[in-house]
Amino acid sequence: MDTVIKTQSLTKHYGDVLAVDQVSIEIYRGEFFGFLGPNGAGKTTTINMLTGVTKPTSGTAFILNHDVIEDPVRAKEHIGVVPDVSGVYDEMTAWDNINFSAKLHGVPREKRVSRAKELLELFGLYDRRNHRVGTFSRGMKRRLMIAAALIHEPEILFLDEPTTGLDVQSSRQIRDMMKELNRNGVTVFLTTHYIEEADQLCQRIAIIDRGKIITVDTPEKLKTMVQVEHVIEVSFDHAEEIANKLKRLSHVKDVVTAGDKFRLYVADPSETLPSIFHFAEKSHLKVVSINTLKPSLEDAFVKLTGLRPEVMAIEKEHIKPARG
Amino acid sequence: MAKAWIEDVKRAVYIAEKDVKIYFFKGPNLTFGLLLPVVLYLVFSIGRTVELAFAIPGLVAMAAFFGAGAIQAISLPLERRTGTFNSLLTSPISFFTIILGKTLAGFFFGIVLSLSLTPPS
Repeated sequence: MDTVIKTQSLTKHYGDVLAVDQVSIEIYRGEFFGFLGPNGAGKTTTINMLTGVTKPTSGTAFILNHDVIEDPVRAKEHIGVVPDVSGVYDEMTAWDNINFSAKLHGVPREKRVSRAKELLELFGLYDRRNHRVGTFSRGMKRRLMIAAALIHEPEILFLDEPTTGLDVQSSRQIRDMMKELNRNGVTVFLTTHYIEEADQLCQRIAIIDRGKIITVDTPEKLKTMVQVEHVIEVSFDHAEEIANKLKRLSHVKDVVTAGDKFRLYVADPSETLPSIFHFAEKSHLKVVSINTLKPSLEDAFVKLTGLRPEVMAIEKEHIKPARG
Repeated sequence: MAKAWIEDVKRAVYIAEKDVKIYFFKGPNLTFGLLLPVVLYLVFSIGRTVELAFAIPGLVAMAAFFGAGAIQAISLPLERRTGTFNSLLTSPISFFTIILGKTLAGFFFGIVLSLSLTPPS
């Protein structure tokens, strides 16, 4: 397969803090690659090193065979970057912003106008092209940032948490756009802390935590890693203090409460299911619903990183500058 | 090779153009670039016996010096804070080109300032 991004032992120290630790990855042409990890895992630092924002402390990185340290300008010619903070100027109009990006990327004049129009139309911003970006909503801004990153028809698109802080509808719009771009042959490098998003979009996922890559694999293969454990999800008509009792049932390894449901991690569902009903009858409870679940990517993630999924749900917003 | 060099300068000019467009009329730039020369002028003219014609070249030079520096002193930290500086860094241009662009904006501002302050004689 044709490798478009290759890093070897890429490492970044900020003083004493080790932000990225010996990251070695290979990304192939046309791939939808995901970088999944909690905040502070080193996702943005890795993107920053690949896109020329910051220099690695050690290690190497190549984009389309151009060394990002030795020959950064060449390496950057073929990439588009959508940063996690604002990459567009609030003071300028959408049209001026996208044109400025075109000029910096050396898009010839005759192509600039037609391509800018085409992209703004595609992203539903053409009607607002003469408005200052400062008046745009977050979702519109993010769309404009993606449009500006695509103006020079890059082969590789980096997106740093593009759906963070957006409402459901805008997020879905952006996910659809990413899928469409990938279908048209653009290699996508996405960072996210949404497990669901990585599962839906990515062909391969690298799970990163505290600067280290824990594993790189397809979502389905990651899920089979935890296949040995089965999950029974059950809810009762009332549910006071029964988690501990459920834990004592035969073959139950662990019980996790999720809303009004209990998740029982079991070795063999066929052995545990009868004892659940037996337990319900004995305790005068009614089983409202009962399901056996396939392991989700979330389960795989929790198993691999030892992190609770709630850690991932903490939004980055509060640590971003208000203007971002 | 020569062509690449011209392309670099062109992109630096685009950055300068953008800086002038955005930061020219920002408050700090106006106070530093336009108010300062006026204050300097008053400082050197009121209650002094220095001949004005004698003082003006010095005033213009000082105003141009501070004024030209003001636009970068605003645009660099602002761009770094809002995150747009990263977009410049991820563009296929060298760091030198970015700084050249920022310098050109100051250069342009300095010239405008000098011309507007120099009284016709």
